[in-house]
Amino acid sequence: MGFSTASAKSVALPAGKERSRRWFRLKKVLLPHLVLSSLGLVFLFPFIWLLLSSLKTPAEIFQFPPTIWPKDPQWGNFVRAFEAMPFSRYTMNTLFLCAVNIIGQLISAPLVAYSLAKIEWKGRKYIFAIIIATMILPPQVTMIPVYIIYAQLGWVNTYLPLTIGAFFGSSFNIFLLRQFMMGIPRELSEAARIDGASELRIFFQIIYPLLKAPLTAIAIFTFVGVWNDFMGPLIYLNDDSLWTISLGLQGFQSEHGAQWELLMAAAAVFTLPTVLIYFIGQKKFMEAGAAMTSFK
Amino acid sequence: MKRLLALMTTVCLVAVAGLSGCSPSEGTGGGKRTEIDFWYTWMGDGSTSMKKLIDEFNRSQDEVYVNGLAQGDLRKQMTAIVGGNPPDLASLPDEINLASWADKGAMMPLDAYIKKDGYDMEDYLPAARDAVTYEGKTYGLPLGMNTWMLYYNKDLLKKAGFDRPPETIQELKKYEAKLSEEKNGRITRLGLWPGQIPHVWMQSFEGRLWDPEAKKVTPLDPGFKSAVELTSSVWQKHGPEKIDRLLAGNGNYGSPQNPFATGKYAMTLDGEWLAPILGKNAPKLNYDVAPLPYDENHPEAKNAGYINVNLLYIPKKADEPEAAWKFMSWLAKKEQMVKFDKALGNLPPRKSAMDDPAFKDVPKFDRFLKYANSEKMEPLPSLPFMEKYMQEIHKQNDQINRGKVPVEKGLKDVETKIQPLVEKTMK
Amino acid sequence: MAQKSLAMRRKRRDFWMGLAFAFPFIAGFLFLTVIPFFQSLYFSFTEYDIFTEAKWVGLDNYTRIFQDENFYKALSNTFFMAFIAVPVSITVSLLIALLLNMKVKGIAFYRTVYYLPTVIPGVASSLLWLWILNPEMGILNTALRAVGLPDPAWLSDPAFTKPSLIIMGLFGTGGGALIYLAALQGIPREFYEAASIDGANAWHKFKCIVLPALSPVTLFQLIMGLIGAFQIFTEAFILSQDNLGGPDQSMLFYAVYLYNEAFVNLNMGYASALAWVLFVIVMLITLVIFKSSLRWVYYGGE
Repeated sequence: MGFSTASAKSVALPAGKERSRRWFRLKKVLLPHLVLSSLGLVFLFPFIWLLLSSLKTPAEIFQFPPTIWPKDPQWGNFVRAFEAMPFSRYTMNTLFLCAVNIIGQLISAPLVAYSLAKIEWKGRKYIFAIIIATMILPPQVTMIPVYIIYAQLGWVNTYLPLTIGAFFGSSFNIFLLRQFMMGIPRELSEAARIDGASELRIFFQIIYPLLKAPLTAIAIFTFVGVWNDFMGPLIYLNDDSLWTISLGLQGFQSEHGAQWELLMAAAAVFTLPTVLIYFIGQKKFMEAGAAMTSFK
Repeated sequence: MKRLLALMTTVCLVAVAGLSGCSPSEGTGGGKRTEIDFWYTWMGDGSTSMKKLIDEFNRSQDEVYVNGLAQGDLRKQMTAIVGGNPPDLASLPDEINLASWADKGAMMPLDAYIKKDGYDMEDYLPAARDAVTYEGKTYGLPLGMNTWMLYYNKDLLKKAGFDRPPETIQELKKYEAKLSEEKNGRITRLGLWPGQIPHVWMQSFEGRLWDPEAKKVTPLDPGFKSAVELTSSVWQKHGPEKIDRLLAGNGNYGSPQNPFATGKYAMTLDGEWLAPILGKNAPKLNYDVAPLPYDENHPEAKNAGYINVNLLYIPKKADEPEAAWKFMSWLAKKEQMVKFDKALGNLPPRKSAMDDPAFKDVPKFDRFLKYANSEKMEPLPSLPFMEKYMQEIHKQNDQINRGKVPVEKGLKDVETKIQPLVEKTMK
Repeated sequence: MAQKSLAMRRKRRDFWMGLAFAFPFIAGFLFLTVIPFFQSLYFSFTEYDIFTEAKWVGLDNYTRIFQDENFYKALSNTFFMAFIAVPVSITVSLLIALLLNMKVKGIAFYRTVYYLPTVIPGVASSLLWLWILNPEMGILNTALRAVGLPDPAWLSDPAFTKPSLIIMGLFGTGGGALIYLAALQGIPREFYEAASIDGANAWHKFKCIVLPALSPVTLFQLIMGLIGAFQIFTEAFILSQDNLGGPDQSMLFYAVYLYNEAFVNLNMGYASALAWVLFVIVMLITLVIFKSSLRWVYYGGE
C-alpha cells in the first residue's frame, strides 16, 4: 500500500501527459491486480498448505518453527494413506451415489417443474406454495420418523435412503427449473399442442433440450452436495464396504489422531477429485452459481 | 450436456460393477461360510494386532468369516444398533456404557451361549466378571483390563532434587509445583498431567460415586470432590488458556512425540498401555511407575486404585449371533487373550493368563499386575444411568477446570440432574 | 357449445396431466414430509427409544426442554452463528463480488481462485483447519507470533471456537460472491451513468443503486444462510470430537445436540420435541425477515 501513496505524491508534481497516463494505468490496472492477487493468495493458501503438509515427515510436521516447504517430500504418505484405508472403494461408492442422485434429479425435477410452469391446472399454485414451504422446513423435523420408516423397511445400511429422495425431485431444483421454464415463450409449447403433440413429447422434444444450462447447474450442485454429504452416510451406512469418502476420512481421523501428515494426505486425496472436476468444468460452475440468481 | 450424461452413466456402471463381486468370503473353500461384521474400538497398534488375530481366526476354520473394522466412534455403534442393522459383534473400551446399553436392550445376554459351551467364566477375575454383569446376566466378555499408575520421569525428578516418587497427595502437590515450568507465558513443562477423568483419583481419597443402600448418586462425596479439586488445581494454577494450548500442541500419543516421552510432562497419570508405547518410541527415556499417591488423611487408601475392563458384546438384532459368539469366545480364550494383551500391554483379566511367560518382556507389566491385584482396586459400579452420569461429570468437570463453576455447585448440578434418572431407571 | 365442451375437456386433461407430471414430488412430499411431519409431532409427546413402544407423556418433553441447560447452550451457540456469522459472511461475499466486478484482465482467473475453497469437502476442510488453527504447531499462530500479534488457542479456547468457525466460513464466501456478481452484472449501465450526471460519488452509487438492486439476492442469501446456520453439523462433529460440543460446549450446535439426543442417547421423543421447537423458531425468524423485507427489498420493474 505504501507503494500507491508514493505514486500519489508523484502525480501531484506538474508532470507531462505521459506521467499521468502512467498513474492512470497504475491506479486502474496495477492496484486492482495487487488487491485481487494478494487476496487470492489468501484464498488459495489453505489448499496449498494441505498439499504441503501432506508431504512432510512426522518429525518435520512437529518441527518448531514449522518449515514452509517440505525438506524431503514424502510421497510415501499418500501410499500409506491408501494402504490404511480402501480409498478407491470409497471413491467408487461416492461416485455411484453422486451418479444415481444426479440421474434422479435430472429426471424428476424437470417433470415437476414442467407441470408447474407449462401446464395450466388447478393444483399448481398449491404445489408451488408447498415447494417454497418445504425449502424452509428444517430437515430435522422429519429426520427421526424418516429414519424409523427406513429402519422398518430394512433399508438402513443400504443406498436406498441416500438415493431415493432424488427421484422425488428436490424443492430447490424444481424451483430453479420452474423459474427458468417461465422464461421460455409460451408460443413454443402452445404451437406444438395445437399440432396435437402429447405433453410428454412437448416436454422431451421441445422443453428438455432448452434446459441445458440449468440442468448442468443442478448436476453440478448435486454432485458437490452428495460428495460432501456427511450426516446422511453417517446415519444410514454401517458396513465400511458401503462407506463414502466423508465417512472414511472421519474414520481415518479417529484411527490416526494426530498423525497430521497422513491425515493431510488423506484429506488431499479426498479433495483432489472435486478440485479437478472444478478446474475442468469451471465455466459451468460459474454459470451454475449465476443460475441461482433466478431466485429473485 | 450429453457428454456429461454419458460420463455419469459410465461412472454409474463402473461403480455398480465395482460394488458387486468383491465379497471377501468368495473363493475360500466350498461350504457356506457365515460372514460376520466386527467393529472394534482399538486404534493404531491395537487395530493392527486385532487384524492379525482376525486373520488367524479366518484361516483356522472355514465356518465363520470375520470382517473386522476399526470404528473408534461409539456414537456410530449406537446409531447402527438403533437402525436395526448393527454389526454382529462389537467392542467397548470400558464397561461404563454396559449397564445403560444392556438396560435399553441394546445388548444380547450371553448366558445361554456360556451354558451351552460350558465356557469357563470362573477363570475370570471376579472384578472383571462383575464389570460385564448387569442384573444377574452376562453381557460381555472382557479381553483386557486396565489400571492407572503415576508415570514419572526419573531424570527430571532427580534434577529437581527428588530421588523417589511421591507417596502421598501432599507430596505429589509439592513435586508438581517444583517440576512445572513456564516461559514467556507458556507452559514449557507440566509437573503433573492429572488426566481428564477425575474418578481415577477417587480411591486415593476413599471416595465413591454411588450409595447402594440409599440408592443415591453421591457426586458431592468428599473423596470424589477432593479428586475433582486435585485435577482442577492443575488447570487453575496455570490457567485453562495455557493448558488448552499445551494439549493442542501435543504430538501423537503413540509416537516419539508423546508428551511424557518428550519430557513435556514430568509426571503423568496413565494406564499400563503407555509403557509398551514408550518402550517402542522412547527407548532411552529414564522413567518408572508408582502406585497413585494417597491422601495423608486416608492412610487406608495406600495402594488403592481404579480398574476397568474392555469387552466384546453382541448387539441386539445382530444377524449372526451364533457365529459372533463363536469368534468372541475364541478371542477371549487364554491363548488369544495373551497375544492381544501382550501386544497392547493390557493386563489379562483371566487368572490363568496372568503369569504367562509371554508377558515377561512387556515393560512394567509386573508392576501394573501387582498393583491391579491389590485388594483395594475398585471398578465403577454397574448402573443403568452410568453413561449419562459420566457424561454429566465430564461436562461439569470441564466447567470446573475452566473456573466457570465452583466445584461445589458443579457437583451439586450433577446430583440434581442424575438423581431423577436413578428413580426412573431403578425399578 | 362445442367450443365450451372442448375447453372443459382440455381443462380436465390438463388437470390430470399436471398431476401426473407433478407426481414424483407429490409422492415424495406425502411419504417423506407429510407423514413424518405428523409422526414427529406425535413422538414429541412420547418417550420413545425405538426398542420399546412409545409411551405418551403429554407435554413433559416440552417442559423439560425449557429447563434443559444444554438446550439453551445449543440455542445460543446457534444464534451466534446465525446472527453474527451469517451477516459477516454475506458482507464479505458482497465485498468480494465488488472486487470481482472490476474490469481488469484475467478476472476470470481470479473468480476461479476465489471459488475454489467452496469445493473442498466439509470433512476434509474441517481436518485441514484443525491443523492450520493448531495453537502451537499451526501455521496461523506461527505467523501471528512472528509479527508479534497475540496467538489465541482457536479451537481449544471456548472464546475462540466460534470465531474460528467464522474464519473458516469466510473461505466459503466465494459461492455467495458469485451470486452477487451475477446480479451486479445485471444492473444496467444507464443507472450508473444517470447517477454520474447527477453528480453522485462512488459511495452514493453503491448505496442508492447497487444495494437496492442486490437486495433480493441479499434476502435470498440471508434466509438460506440462517437456515444453514441451524443445520451446522459436519464441522462441529469433526472439530469438537466429543458428544458435548468441545471446550465449554462452545460448539454444541442445535443440529448436533438433536443428533446426540436422537441417535446416541436414544431419546427419540425428546429429540422430536427439540425438532419441533426448532421448526417454530425457524418459521418465526423466516416470517420476521419476510415481513421486514417488504421494507428493504427492492423488486425492480421485472
